[in-house]
Amino acid sequence: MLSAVNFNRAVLFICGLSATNLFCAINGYAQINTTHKMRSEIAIATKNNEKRVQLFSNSLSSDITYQTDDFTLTSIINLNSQFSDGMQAIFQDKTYSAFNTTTNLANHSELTLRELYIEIPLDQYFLTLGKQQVVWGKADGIKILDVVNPQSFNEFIFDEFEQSRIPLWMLNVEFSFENNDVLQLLWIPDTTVHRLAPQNASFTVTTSRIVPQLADTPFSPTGDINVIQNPNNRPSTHVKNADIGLRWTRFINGWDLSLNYLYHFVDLPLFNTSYSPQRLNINAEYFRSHLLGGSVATTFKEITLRSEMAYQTHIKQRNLHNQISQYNELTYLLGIDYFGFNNTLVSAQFMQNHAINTQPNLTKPTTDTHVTFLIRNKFWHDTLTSELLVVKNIDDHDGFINASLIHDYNDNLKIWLTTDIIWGKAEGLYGQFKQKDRIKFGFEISF
Amino acid sequence: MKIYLFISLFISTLVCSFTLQANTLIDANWIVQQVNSRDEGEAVSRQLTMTMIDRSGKKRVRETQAFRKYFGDEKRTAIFYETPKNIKDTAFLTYDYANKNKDDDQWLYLPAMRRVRRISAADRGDYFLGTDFTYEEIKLETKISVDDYNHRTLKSKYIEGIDYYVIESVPKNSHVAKELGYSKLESYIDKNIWITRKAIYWDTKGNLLKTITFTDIRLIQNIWTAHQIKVVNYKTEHTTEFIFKNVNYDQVISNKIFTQQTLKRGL
Repeated sequence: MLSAVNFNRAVLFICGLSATNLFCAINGYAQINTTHKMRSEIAIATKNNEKRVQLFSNSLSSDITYQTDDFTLTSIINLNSQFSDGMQAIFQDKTYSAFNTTTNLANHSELTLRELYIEIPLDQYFLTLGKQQVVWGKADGIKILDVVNPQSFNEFIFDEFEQSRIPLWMLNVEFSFENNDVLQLLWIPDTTVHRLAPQNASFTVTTSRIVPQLADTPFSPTGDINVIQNPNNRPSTHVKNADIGLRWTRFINGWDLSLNYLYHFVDLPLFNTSYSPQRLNINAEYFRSHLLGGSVATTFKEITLRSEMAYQTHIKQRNLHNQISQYNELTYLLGIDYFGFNNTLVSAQFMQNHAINTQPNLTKPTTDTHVTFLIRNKFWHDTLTSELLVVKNIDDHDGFINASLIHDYNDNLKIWLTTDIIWGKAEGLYGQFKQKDRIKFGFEISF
Repeated sequence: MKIYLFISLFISTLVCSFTLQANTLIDANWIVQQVNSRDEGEAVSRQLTMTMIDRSGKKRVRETQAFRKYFGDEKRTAIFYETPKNIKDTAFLTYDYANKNKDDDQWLYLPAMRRVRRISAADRGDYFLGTDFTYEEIKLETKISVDDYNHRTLKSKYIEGIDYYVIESVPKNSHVAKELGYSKLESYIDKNIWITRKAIYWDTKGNLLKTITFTDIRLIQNIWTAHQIKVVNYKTEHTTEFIFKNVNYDQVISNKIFTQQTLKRGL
């Protein structure tokens, strides 16, 4: 149901937009551009023991831009309906900060102000203020530096990042130097965190890497037990909890370089447990971390080389004795794109994550290695794209294959057919979803 | 005796006529040099409409803003897509270096990824974003590559009031031919204004591939400018037409246009 608070927010938002519209219209110098997209997707499970329709999602998004000589105002509103289990609120309602809430219109629908920001060019400065997405890094499909915005995991990582990234309210200032170096400063008071799929959803996280397992606890219940998921202990909306980011970028002698720093709350919580007779409490806790990293990209003939690295402090993880261990983490990625075949991209990535100075018996390996392989072909003058993506965790021996066929039927209609095939053991990050193989069909109409 | 005299006179005349024709045909490299040294301005801004039509008659139209500017010997080109809605905000940037040993630098911004992606410039024979132009042709515009081809003048021809030199260009080696996707091209170059008006391409197997025609050529701020460029691809029966509007060589174009930041933010 639409609550009074949310209703008021929606009304205020619509009034705000109307006022801006009116202001621009009266002044007569604004250029108004609108893009609307209607998107529909259905996913059918292919494993016998699964319910057949895994996802049926419909969304309508409106992108409205007012552009003047002095500023550009952009708003993206999204109305989304999912006739599946992904939107039942247990944890996720608590993941959004007070500024960043969605408006539930019914059990299966929500209205979201996805983005609303003003861009002001000021001589050497470029100011972007409002709810927005900031993308860092050079990696494809793997997030090392791309951690400024949290993500929705309702579809695990099978959604496009553009769709699953959760925009945040922030101040984003970019200062351009004479030599085209750019220094970016982010101040992010919005404390929204990752949105995990709720209990009993198709992509509910169950891996022992993240979620405590009853078998690993000293809790020995007799008879029925109650598992209580306490509300997220998400950082409160307060100036002292704001994330701060810095990025310096430079292009020199064919090399794209960046240095990144982010002081932030890690968006994936640490789940810990407490017990009382016949009751197991699972609490989500968030913690601060310093991230220092960088990225490089360059080309050698047919090859583009991409790399990024991040060193993160104060990472917390449970060990097998259900104790919490704190350590630092080094993650690096090397990616190679090969453009030597006509209209074809062949890409491979190697990513490794090391827990440094940690105690033994963590619920995740101290060294975690992922490899990805991508081949993308374009046919019929870029109107048909075939793509095969393979992601494998070397240590856990799990992974997934995503194969897709995307056709731009015309400038307004795009249709796609994809399949996700997942394998591995249930404890693995990917293997936990090995029963969730599916075929997905979707289309998008732009107007 | 008379018959021998007649035959020798005939042969002499024939040899002389061939020699005369060979002498009147100017060296192809000199012609290419004239084409490439034609003034194209320090910088230019223009609106570019791309129309693509497939064999079934289905039409796709893209409205873009295109900029080009020289930074010394280095040529920078930026193209920003404004319509249609499904590819709006896509942008392409290239730094083309005079030093042939240095690879060009290219970036592509895809709004769906929200990230500027570095792409290799070695795929110059690939078609540019669904058009019938290759990345190389987008980069060269109306110029002719000196480094990739050996040129020779085929003939001088007069067609519909215009004098042409027809030159044949053959890739210098099989590697270049494979990279560009051509075994040969023939260019019809206007003798008076040193601009290519037509170019015919053959694929690596020697089959006729496509024709590019440059029309609506007008003087803009004292620079000869083709306002319409059309490609007909015989293999795919696909055509691409570029229409240029509001061509301006005098506009001051900010250096910031040619940065990854502008690629991402848009104009």
